[in-house]
Amino acid sequence: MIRVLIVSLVLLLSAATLHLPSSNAHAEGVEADLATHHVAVKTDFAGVNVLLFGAIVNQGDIDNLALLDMIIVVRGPEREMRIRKKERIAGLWVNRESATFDSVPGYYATLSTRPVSEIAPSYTLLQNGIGFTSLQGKLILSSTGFTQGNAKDYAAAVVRVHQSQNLYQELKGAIDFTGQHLFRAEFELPANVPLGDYTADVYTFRGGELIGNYTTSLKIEKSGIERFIYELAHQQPLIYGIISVILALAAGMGAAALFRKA
Amino acid sequence: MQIYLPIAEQSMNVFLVLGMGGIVGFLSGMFGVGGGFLMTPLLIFTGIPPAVAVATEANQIVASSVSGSIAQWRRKNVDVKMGLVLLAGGVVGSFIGVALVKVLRQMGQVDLVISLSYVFFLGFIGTLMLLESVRTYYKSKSGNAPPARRPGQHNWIHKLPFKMRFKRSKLYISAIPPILVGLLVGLLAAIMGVGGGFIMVPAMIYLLRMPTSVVVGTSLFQIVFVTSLVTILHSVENQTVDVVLALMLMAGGVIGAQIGAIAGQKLKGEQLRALLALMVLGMCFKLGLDLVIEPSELYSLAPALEAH
Repeated sequence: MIRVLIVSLVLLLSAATLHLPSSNAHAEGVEADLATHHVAVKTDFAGVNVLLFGAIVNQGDIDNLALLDMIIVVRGPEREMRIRKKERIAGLWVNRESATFDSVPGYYATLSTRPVSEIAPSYTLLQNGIGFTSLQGKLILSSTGFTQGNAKDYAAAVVRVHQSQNLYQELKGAIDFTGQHLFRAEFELPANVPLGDYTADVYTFRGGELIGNYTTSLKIEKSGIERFIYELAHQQPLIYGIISVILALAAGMGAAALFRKA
Repeated sequence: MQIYLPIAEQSMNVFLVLGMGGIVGFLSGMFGVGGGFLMTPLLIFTGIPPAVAVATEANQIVASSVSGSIAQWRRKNVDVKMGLVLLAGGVVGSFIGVALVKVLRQMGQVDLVISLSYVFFLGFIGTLMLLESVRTYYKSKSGNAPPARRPGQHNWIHKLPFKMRFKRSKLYISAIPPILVGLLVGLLAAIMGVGGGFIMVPAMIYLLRMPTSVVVGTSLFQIVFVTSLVTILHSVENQTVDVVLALMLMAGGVIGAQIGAIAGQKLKGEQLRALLALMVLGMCFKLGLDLVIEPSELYSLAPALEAH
């Protein structure tokens, strides 16, 4: 599996840069894992921190270590999102223009040793979808319904709105190295985090060149009673509505009976 | 302590939710008002999406009005025929209101319409309540008794067709006005998450000229059925009823209402009523301000809903 990854990585790199990474007999790479692959959203869910840890493998020239950079990108499930812009009409701020982005990640976090723009050229970042700038570029490509070539403003707003909800994060210097090979990093999934399949990609760079890449995944699901309620509400909405009414009737009458006795 | 709300898809402090239910329950127990027009704006202020706040509040009102309506039923204070005519209008209003919310959600205008409706109605109710309490205050100071209400006169309502006899209310009037009142109340229940008593009770007294003894029972009778229907319709059309939030609000509300009812018997009401009026006007002002002041973020995001 790792070999496949490395081989594909080498192929990718050779395609991208037209020459193979130099001298190393074994390609230098990275391996990583998450402390948990499954986050259950239960009644008391108020967000969670997830630990990602790993190691640099097949490291060649140790003198070169100072130049090693790492970016971790955590991406949430993509959804079709509609974005609206408010305008002042008759003194009121009202939603007017709107546009749709076909695939907006519900969560996007980058953790890096340095600001991502200093780690690699924008071309490499864009190709791998690393950083908010690349994300905005990708959003513009998947957009529909723009009236005045304002896709750029809308894409920037998508990032800004998510950032204000703590769903998009850019954390510089958030990766801790232990010794020469081991590293660990923690990212926060806030309480409003969308549910679904997440991926965490670890990219290593040396001198601006991508030298290693490892992907691991995470699933966030409602569980227990939360899951039951959500599924009932969306799959059997009529039954859900009737149950809600029966519960309310029972609660109201039960309370009345209780207080009449007291 | 946080609790995750499965439909609102966010977590909220348990004590905040119970406290809001308790305070609104206290006020409604004390003043005999329904809590919907207080609770829905509070939920919106705490960050619950307005569409979820409205539908969830309709669910809560089912609980807060059912025991009262059963008590009124036992005392035979319900004009069933009038209640059913009001309900007929209410059913139509609920269907229209829920469909309207669905369309407005797709257009991205639901928040605006809910806020505007609240600015209008809170401003109206708050002003009336404030004037009423100020007037009563001066009346009690000068020692004059409030003037007796004039006996019912024949008005334009008696010229309308489709007259029906309402024995319990001792009325022989057209079915059109009660149907229209019911329809308006159904619309308000669906769009604002209120029971609509604040519209229905004055309409019954001043417009339909029903005897006051049956007004409260008959309006509660209609409210239970209309809010139940609105809860089911919102569940089916919009999936915006958060039953976990509703149950917590009910728990807080039930306790608050009991304490409020006791407090209402012991405390002098007029100053407190003025305070409630100021609170209502304050919420009206805050909602209005949020519409007028340039928001710090002009853009908003929502999952794309397909138009059916």
